[in-house]
Amino acid sequence: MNARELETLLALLYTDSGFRESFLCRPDAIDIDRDGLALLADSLARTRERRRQASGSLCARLRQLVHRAWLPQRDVARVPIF
Amino acid sequence: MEGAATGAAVDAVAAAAGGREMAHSASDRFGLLLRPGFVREMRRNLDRIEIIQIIADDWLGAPAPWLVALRALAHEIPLHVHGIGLGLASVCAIEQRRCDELARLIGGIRPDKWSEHLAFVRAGGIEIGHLAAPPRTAATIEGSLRNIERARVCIGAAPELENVATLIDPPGSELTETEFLASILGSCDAPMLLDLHNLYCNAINFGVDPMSALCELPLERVSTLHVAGGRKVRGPSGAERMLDDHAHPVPPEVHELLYEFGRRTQHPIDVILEREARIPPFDVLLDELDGLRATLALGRRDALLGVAS
Repeated sequence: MNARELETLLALLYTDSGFRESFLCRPDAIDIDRDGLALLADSLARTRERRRQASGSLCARLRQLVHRAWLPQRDVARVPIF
Repeated sequence: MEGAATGAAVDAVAAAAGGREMAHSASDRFGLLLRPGFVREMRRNLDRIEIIQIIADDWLGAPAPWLVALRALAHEIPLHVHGIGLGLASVCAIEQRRCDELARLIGGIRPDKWSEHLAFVRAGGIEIGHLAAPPRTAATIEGSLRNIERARVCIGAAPELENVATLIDPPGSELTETEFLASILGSCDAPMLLDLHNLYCNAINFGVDPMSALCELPLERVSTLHVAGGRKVRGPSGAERMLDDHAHPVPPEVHELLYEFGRRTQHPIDVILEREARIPPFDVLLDELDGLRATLALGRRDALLGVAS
């Protein structure tokens, strides 16, 4: 997985609770194409081969972190200042 | 330095010197993040507020009269424009359209400084919606440096680079946070915007000593400090994390970091108090600013007197 793909994976984990649930609980259930990871062809092939191992490793690191992370959002609503 | 001792010392110095009148560096400036309803109070208290920060993304595409008013305000008091939407710390290039919009805003109001976060905010077409800490890798550093240069060329000045708070230690990271920050700063000429509460939160969340983290940074490169408050959150498994929610007073631990920053540096600094929720009466914010002045001044005075921390 290259750096661009890792950022995309993290973005999905941050924003998509369904994906996050699947990734953390049932990593083999993730459909990389359907979930829009947009991997390059060779990375996709390699990732498919190594997904179980790689996902398991990443899950182990994230399991105690992501599922309980409350992600604050900056209030970017445009409100009158003056 | 013990927290209680710091607090007592700050109180004593502030009381003796009347808070803001005390001898902090003549060039240090203290200010607030502009929020709805603040302008009138800020104008009434220009003897206690030396700078104002605005969130750039709130103003992109704002009606022309607002921008005229903002420019008028910038003539009265130095302004910081603080970006949250570029996503500098990424292997992906920042979006030229956003950079151009920011350049127009900055060109229109001519602020004193502008800044952005070392975060990524989108990837693979997904808008994350908050400032996400990137994987701390050589690839991210290279991408960040390219983006900083793109922003510098587009806007005409390099941004101050801010460290972000995170509840998640970015997977795939090969460097500590301070190594990551120092590496980027060492490879470009952009100044640093050091958010002391972000540094504190990350240190607590990932088992690092906050004071050690502070001392590992190139403090001579810091031109602005952010301070804020947050709260502890607890996950289902019971583990606690510090959340940088900008909704609470600045905690004593951040005062300790500010004191130490003052003890270790002598160059002029801007200090901005970020309060964005559960906002107290304006007088309370002004008092909090005075407390921050006293803490920084105490650190600088102790450095001159050779007082060990």
